[in-house]
Amino acid sequence: MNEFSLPGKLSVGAQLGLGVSTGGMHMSSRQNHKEQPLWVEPFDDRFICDLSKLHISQKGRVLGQLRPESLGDDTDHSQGLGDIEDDYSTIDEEDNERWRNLLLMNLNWDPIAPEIPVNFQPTKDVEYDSNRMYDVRGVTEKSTSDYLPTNLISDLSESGLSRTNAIKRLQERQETTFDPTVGNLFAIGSIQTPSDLRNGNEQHHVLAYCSGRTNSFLTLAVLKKEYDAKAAILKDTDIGDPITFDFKATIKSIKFPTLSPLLGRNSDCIGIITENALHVVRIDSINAHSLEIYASTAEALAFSEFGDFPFADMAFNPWDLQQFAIVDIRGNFSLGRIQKNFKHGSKIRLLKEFSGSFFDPEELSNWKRIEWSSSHGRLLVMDRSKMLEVDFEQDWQLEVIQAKSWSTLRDYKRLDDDFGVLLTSSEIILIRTAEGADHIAREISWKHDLDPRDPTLRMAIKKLRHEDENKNAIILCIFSRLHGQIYVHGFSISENGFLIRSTRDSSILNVPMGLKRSLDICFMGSDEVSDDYRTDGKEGQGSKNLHILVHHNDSGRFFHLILSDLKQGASNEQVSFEGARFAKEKLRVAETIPSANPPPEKVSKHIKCLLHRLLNPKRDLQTSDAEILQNYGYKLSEEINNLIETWSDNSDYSKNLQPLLKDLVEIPNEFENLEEFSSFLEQLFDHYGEQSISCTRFPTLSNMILHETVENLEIFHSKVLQCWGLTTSNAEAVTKEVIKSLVWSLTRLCKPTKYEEMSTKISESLIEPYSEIFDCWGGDHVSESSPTSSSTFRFGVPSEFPMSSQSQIPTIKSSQPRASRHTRRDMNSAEGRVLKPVVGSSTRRRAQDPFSSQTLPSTLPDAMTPAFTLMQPSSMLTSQSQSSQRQKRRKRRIGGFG
Amino acid sequence: MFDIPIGLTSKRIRAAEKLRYEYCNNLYRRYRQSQGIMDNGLPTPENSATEASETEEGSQKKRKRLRRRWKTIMGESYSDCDSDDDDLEELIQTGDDDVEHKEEDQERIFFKRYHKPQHTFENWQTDASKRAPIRRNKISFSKLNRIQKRSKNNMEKSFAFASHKNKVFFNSISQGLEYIDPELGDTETFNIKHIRLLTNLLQLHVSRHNWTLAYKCFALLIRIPKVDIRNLWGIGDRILAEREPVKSLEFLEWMNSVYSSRMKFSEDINYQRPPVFTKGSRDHVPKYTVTFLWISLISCTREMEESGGNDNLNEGDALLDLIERISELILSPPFMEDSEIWFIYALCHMIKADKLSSQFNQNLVGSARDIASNQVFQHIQNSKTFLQTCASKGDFHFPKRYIERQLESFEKRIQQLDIIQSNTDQDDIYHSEDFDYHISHYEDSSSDGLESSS
Repeated sequence: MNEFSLPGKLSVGAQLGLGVSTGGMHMSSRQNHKEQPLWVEPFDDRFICDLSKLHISQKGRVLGQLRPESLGDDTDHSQGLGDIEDDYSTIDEEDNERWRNLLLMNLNWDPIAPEIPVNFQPTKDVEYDSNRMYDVRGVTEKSTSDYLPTNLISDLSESGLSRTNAIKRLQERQETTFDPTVGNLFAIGSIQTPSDLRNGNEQHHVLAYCSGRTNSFLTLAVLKKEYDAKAAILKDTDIGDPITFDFKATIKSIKFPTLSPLLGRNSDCIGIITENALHVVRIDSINAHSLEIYASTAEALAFSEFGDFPFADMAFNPWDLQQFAIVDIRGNFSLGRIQKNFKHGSKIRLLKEFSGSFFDPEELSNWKRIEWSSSHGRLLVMDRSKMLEVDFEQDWQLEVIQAKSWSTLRDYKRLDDDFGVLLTSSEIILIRTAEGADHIAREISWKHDLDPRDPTLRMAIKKLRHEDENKNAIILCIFSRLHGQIYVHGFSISENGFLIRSTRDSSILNVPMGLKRSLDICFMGSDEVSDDYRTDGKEGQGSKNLHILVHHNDSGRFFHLILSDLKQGASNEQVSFEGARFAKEKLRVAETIPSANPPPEKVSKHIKCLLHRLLNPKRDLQTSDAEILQNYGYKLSEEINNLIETWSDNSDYSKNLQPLLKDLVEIPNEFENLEEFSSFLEQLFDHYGEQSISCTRFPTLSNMILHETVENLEIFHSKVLQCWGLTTSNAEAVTKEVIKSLVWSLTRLCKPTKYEEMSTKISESLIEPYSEIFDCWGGDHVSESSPTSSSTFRFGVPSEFPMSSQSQIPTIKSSQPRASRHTRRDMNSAEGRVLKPVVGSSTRRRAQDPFSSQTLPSTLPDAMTPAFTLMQPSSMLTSQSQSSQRQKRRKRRIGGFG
Repeated sequence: MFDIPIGLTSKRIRAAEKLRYEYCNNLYRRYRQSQGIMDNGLPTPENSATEASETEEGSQKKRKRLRRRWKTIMGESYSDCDSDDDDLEELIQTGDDDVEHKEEDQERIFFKRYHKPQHTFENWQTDASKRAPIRRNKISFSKLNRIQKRSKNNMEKSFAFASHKNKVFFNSISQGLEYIDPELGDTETFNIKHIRLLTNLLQLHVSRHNWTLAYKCFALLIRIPKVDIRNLWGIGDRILAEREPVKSLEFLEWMNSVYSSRMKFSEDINYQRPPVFTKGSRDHVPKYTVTFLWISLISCTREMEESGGNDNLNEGDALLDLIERISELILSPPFMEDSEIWFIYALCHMIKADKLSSQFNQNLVGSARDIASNQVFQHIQNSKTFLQTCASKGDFHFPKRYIERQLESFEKRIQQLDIIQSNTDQDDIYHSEDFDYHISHYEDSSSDGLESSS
């Protein structure tokens, strides 16, 4: 069944997604043996591991530490994932240290403890880590070196101060711009030094990552060979002593060469792109026992030697160890040559005859990629909106992909000589680069449903040999800088490369420890070796473990995670694990929404309370709803009356100005009848409305919650019930409870006149300079709005209808404007100034307050009475949505009046 | 983290996009001008014609500008030409044109240059004849800077009117950086938050195979007014297929009947969502229809296999129904032009022939036998013709050899039976035929493998 490829459209291939299926092939019933499926579908149901069961094993661990200072003490380095919080225990120790120093200073004593040299070892087993690996970029610390922020430079060179400030402000809130040229800052690769080759040693796995405050140090360390054979957790001792290079410029990406399997060896070079140059580091030798590493660098190739733009990406030729290709941020590309030996002053040469450009004026992004295609002289170059295949031997280029409309390219990884994987904003596409060395073919694609607007998506890729099925499995991990989830998907390719299939689902993993941003993910182990995917061989159940190293760029920590689909032993354990996973998942979803993140304890407490109430109804059936509410009403009115009294004489007005109903008296929850409840509320509000105390009414609440006005509690209830009835069987009770708690937690009382008093008091209490400013501001406000507002004041009509009131001007009697002007001037000192803050503070809460809409018309005739001051703010606040109706009503009135 | 199933747009996003497209268009124009005028060399072949006309236009404009300038300086005395008035009129007209041009939708102008694909998200070009020589001239900083500066000058006005956020957006993208919008514009209402939460939950539950919860999320999500089920059908189908496979087919059938469109896909419209998985048109068979046909074909054969072929009438009907349905489909456009539908059609007949030939009753004699064998041949013939139609469309590949061999083997079954029956006793027939078949099949498949791998 492996001998043919599946049917499909030539230009499209198999186009798959969740639940989307395409061509299969029917196997004739006569040759259908028991183990052979009836259909060969594009879905591989016997993938190397079950993705839906894939999870991050509890065995993973943290390698780097959060604080470099704490490295000296004896904190346990072999702790598991569960107790990472313990890292912070070192803080106490530090505190002690400080206190001790303080004490010593005051007593003028010599240090109590003897001075311990830095490299002192109390016992043989404890190793002190002084290596760069645990270097942490200081996030808050100010750098003492001569680092000039770009903002400063642009501020000095341009006068666009406001612009840079704006960017800064935006960045403080959330990182909004992102440099697409920053690629992998952490990589694992296989290295074979010349001496290894001579002695027939296997390749070493080398870890390369950047560190330092500005990411300008490159650190190299060797991984012990045996780690994967044991399939155990990586220990600190498995990593050799690192060496560090200082490139004096921010590192943009680190590239390991992957050579073609035809050569049967590994390279010994690492390419590093910094902001201004390309560096190549050659590993001279690796000591297999002490894991020491010796390396040298060639002289850097500055971008100015090639063109005018910084480099964006580079790639090593898989068939030629000395050749590489480079592309700059505007699409000029070229081949180059590295010298065989890095003697003093050896340089990297560019081959001018093999250069070109795919500059596109419409392509704004700096993201560019270059990678070798199927043969020695054939390259793939790409930017966000297209991919070109370039052949230097036959001198042609072809725009293979043009992605201007629906999607953009995100990442590309070369798989081997025949295949590559392209990640676009909406699909993962497996590309065959060599079909008879003719053209690129789109073989299979998977719609991944990740946010297409996320430009930071990247992927890590791993090819595994699946011995039993005679095929290769490819596992992809997609990760982003915006969240801490990993999207995992798999493809399988049959041995001869004909039958290509995909897994039916994909999996989403949550990187533990709440890491959210700037992750770099690498698979451990070399691509071709299948040993690190191994069955543990426990009772025939193969545990499939994939080792992943995650580097958190912000803190500099490493995490060694093990992906496994092993069922966790006993069944009860499995259940508990499921539960834990669900809890995590809930938390995560809450995290993905950045802005409205309520304090979780508060919410959970609330939910608990609600649940408690739902599950344990303590209601005694004797008392009816009306009674309960009545009792409550009595208590409440008492409290409110008290409150009004305190308002009238209390000088500390800032507190308790808008108390919640539930804060006043303990609220009853036992009643059932919502009708009763709403009529109770209405009565209450009407009663206090007469005493010029306004409350949040339900239409206002509904407007805040739903952005639409619902007049009645019952209507709202039935609406919500309609929606929720589908989800749970006891929706009615839930809905009731939710509505009740909504109303209780949002309904507030306030007295509008109180605000006026408050603001006058505040303005009076201001000291000289501030009150002057305040006066100025108030005055301006009045003079600015004079033509319209004066006309509106005449009628006592709020100034929100300047158009309608202007049209009324001719009907005004001549005596009135003067009078009104007087009043206005009189009020200037107090009211004119006061007006604004009131508007600002309570607009939302009392928008559409029926109280104002009802009482307004009745106050019209005596527009210039003192009552006017009371009405003014509330009428100012009426929302636009009601304005049109009221406009009509008022027009009629005015007509009668004039 | 996931794509939410509604068209997200707000005034701010639209304005930002407009800025971007305008800038792109300006850059494009300036770059073309600089290519055409400055270095005359190496214009790409397909563009050279348009470029030439543009430069001509440019020189004409230049002349006109010069003339107008002369006029302002020298007054009416500069009127030595008869066509002066005409020129003036032209000037006014071109001025008008410019105004209109600016007011035109920048996005539309941008996409006038590009084809919007329907089958894939990108345009894939694998035609070797489209190969061009490698472009060797590099872009230099001074040139790029000039182009960028001019383009920016051109859009001073729209930049000045842009909102604060959009200015930041524009500044960052014009420097080659990319912009991450944490709120996706100003549209972060509770409604959208709700949708986003549900989408995240839906994807998580599907990835963990919690089908009941996933179903609940799906049911809630599709009832939200703004949500278009066409953006979600795949995941919904997946959930239903796990819960109750029959419903999944019904769902797809419903999708197929409700959202079948034969409208022409118009490239002028600025669509918010790609039509690849969500829409059909006159020349694009919607993905849910194709999925529906495939899944129903597969489920037909599965049913047949499970029942073991005893209950001849009932499950035979399912496949015949499908054949009937496809035969209706292929009478009208998008389907009659789509090679995949033809292939499915051919496959249906092939499976039917397989079924009938393997159930062929050797006890039949006379006309009943002829009818039965004719049925098989009819299906084989149909299958062949439809495969040919499919191949004639030229954009579909299938294991041709394998299918031909299978069809031949079906024919052989009946013919062999005929021959054997005429020669030997009833008892031996079955075994020897079976044995023969296995040998012949073994040869077939091995040679098939060789051929296809070569």
